[in-house]
Amino acid sequence: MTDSTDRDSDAPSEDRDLDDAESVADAKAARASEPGDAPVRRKKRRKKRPKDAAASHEDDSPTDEAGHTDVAESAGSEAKLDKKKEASPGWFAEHYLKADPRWLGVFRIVLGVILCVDLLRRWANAGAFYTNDGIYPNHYSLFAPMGRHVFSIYHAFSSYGEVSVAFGITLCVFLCFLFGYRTKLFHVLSAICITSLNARNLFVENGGTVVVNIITIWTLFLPLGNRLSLDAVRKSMKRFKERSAAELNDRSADEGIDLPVYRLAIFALILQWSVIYFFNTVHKSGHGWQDGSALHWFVYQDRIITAFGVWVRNNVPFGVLRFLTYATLVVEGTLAGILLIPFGQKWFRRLAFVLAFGLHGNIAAMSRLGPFSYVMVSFFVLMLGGADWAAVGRYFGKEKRRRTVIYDADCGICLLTCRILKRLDPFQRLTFVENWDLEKLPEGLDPAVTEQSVVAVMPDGSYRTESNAVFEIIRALPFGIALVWWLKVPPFSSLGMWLYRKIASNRIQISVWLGLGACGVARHAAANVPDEPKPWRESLSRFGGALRELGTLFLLVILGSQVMVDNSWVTSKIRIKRPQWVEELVDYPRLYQGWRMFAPEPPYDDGTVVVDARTVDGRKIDPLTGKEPDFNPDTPTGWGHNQFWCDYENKIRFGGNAHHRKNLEDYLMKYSERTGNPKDKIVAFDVWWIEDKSPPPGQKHGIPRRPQKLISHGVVKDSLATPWLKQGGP
Amino acid sequence: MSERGDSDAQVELEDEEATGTDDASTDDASTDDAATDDASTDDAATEDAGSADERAEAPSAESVAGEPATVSEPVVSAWRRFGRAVAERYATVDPRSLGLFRWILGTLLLVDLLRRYPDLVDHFTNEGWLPNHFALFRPMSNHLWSIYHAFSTPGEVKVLFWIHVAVYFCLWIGWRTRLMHVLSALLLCSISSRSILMENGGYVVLILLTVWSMFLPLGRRFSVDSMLTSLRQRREPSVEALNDRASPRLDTRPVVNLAATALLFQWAVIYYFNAVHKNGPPWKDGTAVYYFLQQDRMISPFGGWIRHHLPLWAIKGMSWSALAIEFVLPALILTPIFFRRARLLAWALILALHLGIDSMVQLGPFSWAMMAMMSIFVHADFWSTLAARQRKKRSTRRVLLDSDNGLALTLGRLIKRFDGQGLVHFVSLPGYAQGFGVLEESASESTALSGVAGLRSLTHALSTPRFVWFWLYLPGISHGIDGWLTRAMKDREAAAKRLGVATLPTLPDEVAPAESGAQRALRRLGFGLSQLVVAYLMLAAVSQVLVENRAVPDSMKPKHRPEWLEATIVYPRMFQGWSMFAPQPPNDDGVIVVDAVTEDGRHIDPLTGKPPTFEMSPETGYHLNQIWCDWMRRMSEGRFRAYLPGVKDYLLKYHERTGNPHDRIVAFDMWSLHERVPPPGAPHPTPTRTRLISHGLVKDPLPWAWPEQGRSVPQAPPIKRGRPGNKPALAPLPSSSKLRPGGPLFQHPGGPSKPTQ
Repeated sequence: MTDSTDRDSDAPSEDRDLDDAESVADAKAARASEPGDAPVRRKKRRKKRPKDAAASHEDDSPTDEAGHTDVAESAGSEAKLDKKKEASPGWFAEHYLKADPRWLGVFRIVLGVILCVDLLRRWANAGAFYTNDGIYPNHYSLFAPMGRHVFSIYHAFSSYGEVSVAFGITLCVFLCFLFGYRTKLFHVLSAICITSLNARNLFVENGGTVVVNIITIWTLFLPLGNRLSLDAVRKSMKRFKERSAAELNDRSADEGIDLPVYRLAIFALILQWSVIYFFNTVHKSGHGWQDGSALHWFVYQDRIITAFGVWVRNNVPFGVLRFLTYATLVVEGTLAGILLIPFGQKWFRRLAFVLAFGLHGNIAAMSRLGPFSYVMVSFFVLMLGGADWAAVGRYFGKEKRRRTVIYDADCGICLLTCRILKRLDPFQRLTFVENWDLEKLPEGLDPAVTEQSVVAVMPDGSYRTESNAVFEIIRALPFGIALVWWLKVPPFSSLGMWLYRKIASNRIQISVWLGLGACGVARHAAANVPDEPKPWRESLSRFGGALRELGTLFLLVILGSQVMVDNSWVTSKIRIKRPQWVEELVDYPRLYQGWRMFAPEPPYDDGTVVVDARTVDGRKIDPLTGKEPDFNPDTPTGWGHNQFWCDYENKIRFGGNAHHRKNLEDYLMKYSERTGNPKDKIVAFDVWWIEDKSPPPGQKHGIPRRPQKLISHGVVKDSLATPWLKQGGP
Repeated sequence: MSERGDSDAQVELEDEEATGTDDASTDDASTDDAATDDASTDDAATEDAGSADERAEAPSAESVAGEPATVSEPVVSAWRRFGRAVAERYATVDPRSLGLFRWILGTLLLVDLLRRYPDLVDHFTNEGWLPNHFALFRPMSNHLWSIYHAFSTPGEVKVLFWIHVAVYFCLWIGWRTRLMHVLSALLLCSISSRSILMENGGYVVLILLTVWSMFLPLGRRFSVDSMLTSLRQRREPSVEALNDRASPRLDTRPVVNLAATALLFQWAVIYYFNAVHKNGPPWKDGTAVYYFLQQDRMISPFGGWIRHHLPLWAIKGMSWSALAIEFVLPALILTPIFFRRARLLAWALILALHLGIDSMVQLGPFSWAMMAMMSIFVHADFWSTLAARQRKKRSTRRVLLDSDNGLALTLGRLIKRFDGQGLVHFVSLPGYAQGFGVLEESASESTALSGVAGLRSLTHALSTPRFVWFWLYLPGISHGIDGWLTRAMKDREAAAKRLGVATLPTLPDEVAPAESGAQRALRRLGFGLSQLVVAYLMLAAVSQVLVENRAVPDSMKPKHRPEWLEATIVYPRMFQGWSMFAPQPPNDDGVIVVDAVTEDGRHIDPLTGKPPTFEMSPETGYHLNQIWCDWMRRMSEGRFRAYLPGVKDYLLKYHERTGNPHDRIVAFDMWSLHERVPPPGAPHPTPTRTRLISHGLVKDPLPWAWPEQGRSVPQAPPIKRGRPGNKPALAPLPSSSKLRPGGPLFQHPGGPSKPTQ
């Protein structure tokens, strides 16, 4: 039988923050804030708690969360708990420092997915942007860095093979973070990797990559691995070693782990997002924003426009675009302040989530800005609380999702599976029954069946067996269908059935092989001998917590100073001077704070790079597209560039980057190596920047401008640019 | 001794085969026969024990399958015996020897790293002569990779350097040994690859030693890992349990691993080719050591002294004996008969040879790495003998413990882990006032020593060498320990609660469960995979041996090797060309001197910080360390001419390094001085000098006392483009002093790059 003594003693510092009542002290307020059935359920569970478990709480040692809350005694002692309940975390903490560990877990998954997707899209473009075969070799990036204090691990990797190895390792790091395996370690490594990835090639850096850096580093100060993670499952499995259905069905042991945590980093993130929206709003002071045409100009950005954006510009009336322009300003302005409102936070933050989703969802649908929109929305997950979790729980916990799992009580692997299922079932849809408990078997179910197969009893009393039972059980878990859909698709369903029967018929041997209890085989001795609380670890944890909060405060001050440096709205009023080391602290992880996206004016013109090249056999080709060069800057469907080429082409045209064009020349000359066709060898080319003035409202076609030659190699005869060099185009 | 040791090992292996190693009884059986008190434990068994299991289980697997026997039993048995004999001779090592080796390797790595620190800025940062961008732009080799290339400024490199030190330290103490070993190998290869101008045979040998031993379980003994494993294996809650030495047992199970074979053959190959390549006249007439001692660049003070005092006949004797030792070593290392004595002799010869070399010249880690390897093959007999000797020489101690207190018991648990010989006897004294006391076997309890005095007394009984406990005698540390221990024992109940061990006396005597089938299968899988990697590396190494060594006939050299096989060797710099001082030792010598003029008119050599001098053949050499020695040697060669602009930038930054603006250099000439080494007894020939680079005009240059020979400036052959994407030097690069990160040329008008959208 598990008890809280075991739980507390075993907790690593990070996890203890949850278990103890750093937050138990706030339980009262937290429960009050949870609507619906959450408080009721907790109350019911407490009633079900076995007496011995309750008694064991008496021995709990004091633990504490440094930084914000008083030391709280363990949750087991009612007297101590009451005492803790009296200690309030304070108004400020309750309003601006609180986070729900479950939503922290969800956020970790979302951020992990963003990091993985971001890496994969970089990998797809690695040859051009991250290797020495591309447009920015590592030696040149180090020789002529595009910024101060640029550091990237990926500078050490030169060839495509080396970069692929590095990206493969990075993907493993991101996946470990996503799944919450040794979360803190892999979070730190992920932060190093993502800032390094961004610093490797600053041509493709934009606001989105900076926001990814910022959120990854701020959340280092949050316990993202306490829920919905492999760490949480492993820790729980280690602490509570259930050996019966009664113990499996007893969820009271998990009671404390969902209590909110209080961290300064939450406040820092709220400030950070408010700052982003505030300055993005106040900087949008140009005519395009004032007359409501900004969105019109935006959708005529052929560099970044998506197919949906093209549809919008062709079909949505200007009046609607004008409304959306003003709506964008209103939404950004609202988001700048809404998170700081101290009252009605539950609904205001829900509203903020909806507004952000609407704003950034539309931006993402219409333009290619990299991870910007996704990461901006991901932050709002952190603002959700216990009430929101309860609301989600009502969906995932629908009655029709309830299942009763009848398992072989003599089978170690069956018990282990049930223990894992219990931990993957945050909404408690599964009830476990041992197969010898005949009273609890549904009517019509032959007990002999339960000797041969797991049985899933549905809410209507019907039951499923074998792989069908597995399907129903996993499907009851949140997003479980993603894992088991194939069990219903022929011929995989047959394979699933065969696999199930193979495992079921050998389950005793498998149990023994895994060192688990099985019929006639003793389980590990002393499995449930509790460990003793270790106050020295708690002291260490307190010390670590204090350091963590000090670190958060320090970073808050540093980035606050950066806000005052990077934004013209502030610098026009105040000018500050900072020591070199402060700048280094911002530059190295690239935590810039200048927020002026599409501000003060939306872009009124648009362009792209065209290469007019000649192959060794005389063909005209654009090595960037593989097609014949097209100098027409007016495109009905957008250029179709991804974010990397879009940002690169936009930056390489500027005179300040002229010295980087030699690398572009080298890249273009290797075209035949990339295609593998010797006839594609380039003998001469001109690189042009072509652009047009975007059409004003009411018009569909822009006004082409004179192309601008960036670099040449050899002599290009009968240049295709010649007609466009005449004023007004061909 | 050898025969007895053989039979012991044989018995142990046979026991394992007969019973498998699945349960504790196996260990009992095997260790009953063992000469030591130590006994192997099932839980401590690692992949190597797994290989023994595999040998044992192979026949049973065949019988289950019911396959008909295709060869007769005696033949199978003979092959099995042969295989076992081969494994015993070439693949079996003792875990205690591996623990010893880990300490030696860790020390070697740490010393090798720390010796680079004074030269870190000069050779590994962008303030030095080879900025990372140029090292990547014009790599000195193909397949060159170094994590140090990502670090530019001295600050950045120092951060990585201290992380590097921390990784080595963790390997040294055996904390997360395997992970730290892999990281150590990566970092070692990286620091070597950052600037391979200084690379020599010593670097390569150290890498080989680190990489091959990466596959051996170095953390099974004498490590933090083994201590933690032992503490987890049994939680002794009483003095009786502490006195029970049957569990946990010390791990003495032999390790059977292909990596041990690889190391043996690697060392044999090194000595063999170094010997056969030494066929030049100086080795034949015995004057090789004479020429060797005339290398002023790398001669040590002792070498400088000895070359003036040793008669020629003695030098000839040294030359021939060095050659003889190198010839005989491969045979001694690989001989299948009397192999223990032979390896002992080999180690003695290696020590003599390399201590001699290292005392006379500075070759970096070469000699030490060569000597370190043989510690892996210290036989189990040695440890048995050592244990027997310890039991005789060490005295017994009684440790009085308050058996009702968790802190006292925890202290006892730790002491037990250091007491390999069982010379410590724990005595239960519930409520013992001092909590913990130590006394000699025959002494009365009233004379028990507590605090640090007790610990010092205890070291007479522990199996750990006594010098390890020197810190117990250091003022300050010993006082601190004494104070803490006394206070903790005085209020030991509270202390036990603080440490979370207060309930230890009430807990059951818990022994960790045996390894499950799944864990065993996973371990075996991991072991099998590691052996496959070793086999692949051996294949790559063999192909490299054939390619690189002159003594290998052309007919045996592979004509075409796949790129990936070459990359496998070159990335970790595991080269296999062994021709040190062969076919003859260098018969010339030289040094680089910079005649620089500072802005206040002084002449200075920025490489030394002293006034430049053209002194040739100084009495005791040039006193260069290995890094500068190899740097000067190679920088004088024409093939590295492409790197001279970097040296120029480096020299011009001299005043930044000294912090003295008056040291700003306005002009300099960098000279390579060169001198032929005369035959014994002949006068020194006229030295020559070659101007490598110049900057400005050096007025009143340093006088050259010899006639100019007009030696031409060496021409640089084109450097091979080793890396895709590296541009040929079509246009001269701007001065890197202007272009280093943060330099004025590359700051954008608007400051650092910012998000623009």
